[in-house]
Amino acid sequence: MQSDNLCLTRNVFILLVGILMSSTVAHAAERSQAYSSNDGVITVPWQSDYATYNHFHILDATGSKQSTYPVIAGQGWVVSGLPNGNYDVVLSSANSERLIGNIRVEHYSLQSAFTLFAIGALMFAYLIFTLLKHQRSTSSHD
Amino acid sequence: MTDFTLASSNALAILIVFGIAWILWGWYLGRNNRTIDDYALAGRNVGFAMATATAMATWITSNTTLVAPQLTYQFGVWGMLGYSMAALGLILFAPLAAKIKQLLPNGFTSGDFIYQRYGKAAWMAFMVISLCYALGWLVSLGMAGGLLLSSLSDLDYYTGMTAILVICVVYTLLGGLKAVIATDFVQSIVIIGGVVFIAWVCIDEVGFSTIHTNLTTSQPELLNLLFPAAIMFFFNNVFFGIGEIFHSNVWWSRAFAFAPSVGKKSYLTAGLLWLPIPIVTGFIALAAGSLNLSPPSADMVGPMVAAVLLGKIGAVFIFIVVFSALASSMDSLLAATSDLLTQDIAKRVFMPKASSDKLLRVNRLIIIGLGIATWCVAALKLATLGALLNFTGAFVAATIWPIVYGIYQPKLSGGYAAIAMVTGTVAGLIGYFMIGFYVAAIISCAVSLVVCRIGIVRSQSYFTWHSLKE
Repeated sequence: MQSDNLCLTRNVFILLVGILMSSTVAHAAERSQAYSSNDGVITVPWQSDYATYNHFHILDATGSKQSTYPVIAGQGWVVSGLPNGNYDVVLSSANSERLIGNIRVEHYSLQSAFTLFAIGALMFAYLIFTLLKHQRSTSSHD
Repeated sequence: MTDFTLASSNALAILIVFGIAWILWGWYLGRNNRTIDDYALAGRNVGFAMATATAMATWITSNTTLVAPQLTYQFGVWGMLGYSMAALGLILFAPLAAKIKQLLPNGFTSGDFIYQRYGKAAWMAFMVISLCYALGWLVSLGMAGGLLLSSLSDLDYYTGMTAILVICVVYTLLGGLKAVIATDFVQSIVIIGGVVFIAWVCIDEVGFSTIHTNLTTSQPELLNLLFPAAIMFFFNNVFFGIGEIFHSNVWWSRAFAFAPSVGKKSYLTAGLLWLPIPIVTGFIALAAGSLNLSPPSADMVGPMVAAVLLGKIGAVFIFIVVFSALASSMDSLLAATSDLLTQDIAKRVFMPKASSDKLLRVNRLIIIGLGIATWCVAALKLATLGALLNFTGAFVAATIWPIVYGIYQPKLSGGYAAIAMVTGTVAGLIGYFMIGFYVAAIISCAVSLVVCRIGIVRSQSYFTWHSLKE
């Protein structure tokens, strides 16, 4: 019985901590969103409070502008071609700036990419070989 | 709202004119259809020019006009080149088309072949894969119509999606494969002329050096030949394209419909003509950054760049080109999938003794049903076009080896063919969700190959080809 109570107390505690943590995360999410990508592509969705800004910037780790796009009401942004690294997503207008997100880009390893490429190349060569071999034998048979 | 956005009244006017023109033409071409052979296979006597045009136009689709720019925007140079490798599907299908016509002179569908070659278990696996793919492609085409309209005009996604579906369902319903092939012929001319013109304007207005400079500073990975995700994507797209063509009844029904000795030449020519088109359509996406453009969804980048380059008139132009591309694929897919369902499900399972008239009526009802089902799924807008299409890659790539071995290797049994298709699909889907959409097809194809090879090594049976001739 005691162990049941202990178990219940522990579960309630975990639940409360969970709720507390998730509300903290939700608060953080309102301030700035964390994005991560393995292919250098990031989608930043539109939010109504972005309408007061004019420009959307991606800043690299040194703070210099990687790219800049206009803010168009109702439209989010898809940014592509980013190399490995950490970036800030910033909105700006004539007299204010707002950090809306942080991006971490870590591309897949070249080793795994080339392994898959080699499997594809071998399988493709084998497919061509199979088709040619049977095509020749069919032609000679005909 | 951007300065190239068409007013909703103009966009609606184009839709109505376009729709009425295609529907009237479909009715005119289909007025002499008397039998299911006339309706579903255009009398089995399509000549070289029409055959080549329909093969090429069907393969120029939302994939080519919307997804090729999307994948170039995401994967850069590799994306563009990888996408053009989908032409290999058409080129490699050329010898198969000749063999198919020889093996099944009275065949109707790809399902016919699988049923007779491998039996019921493999046929069931194949039908599930084929229908999942057909619905995925249809949904992507419906979505593309909606995206196109919402990116170029004030009209919303649902209006565009509904319009393309209604137009294509009605003219396919009225004209059958004959209307599909004839409209494809005109649509292919519009599409090729259009994309070449847009690429020329892009080079003229923006220029190679500006594009290169901008990419180097803002999106350097797009020029990187050692871009890992793009390297993964390259052969994935090759096998996705091959899987799409090798298994789909869109291409098999054409192989049956083309006149004897036309299939091989037509597919080969269509593949070679199609090869540079994704490079042209994809290239314009590289100019997005130079034009200060970041699309709200990656699959909208092509029309948006073209509309910025050409202004309001350009938006109308793009609208017509992409709508032609969508229509040329959607009509083919509606016709081929309804044939597959009519012949392989309705006739084989429920009404083996049905007359030609009855099958014709069932075929038409199925076209309407497919249109409604596509609308319902496309309305949910579950993923981007590229992600949705590559999801179906996990299904179709699993059929490549069972089909190749089905035609050329008499030792593969139906049991192993079924296992190859099922395990390949499951492995591809795991890859899709665990790694990304750019590995689904290659994993699926590799697993299917391994199972087929095991089946051939362990085989005790030997299939005789003459039993396929009905």
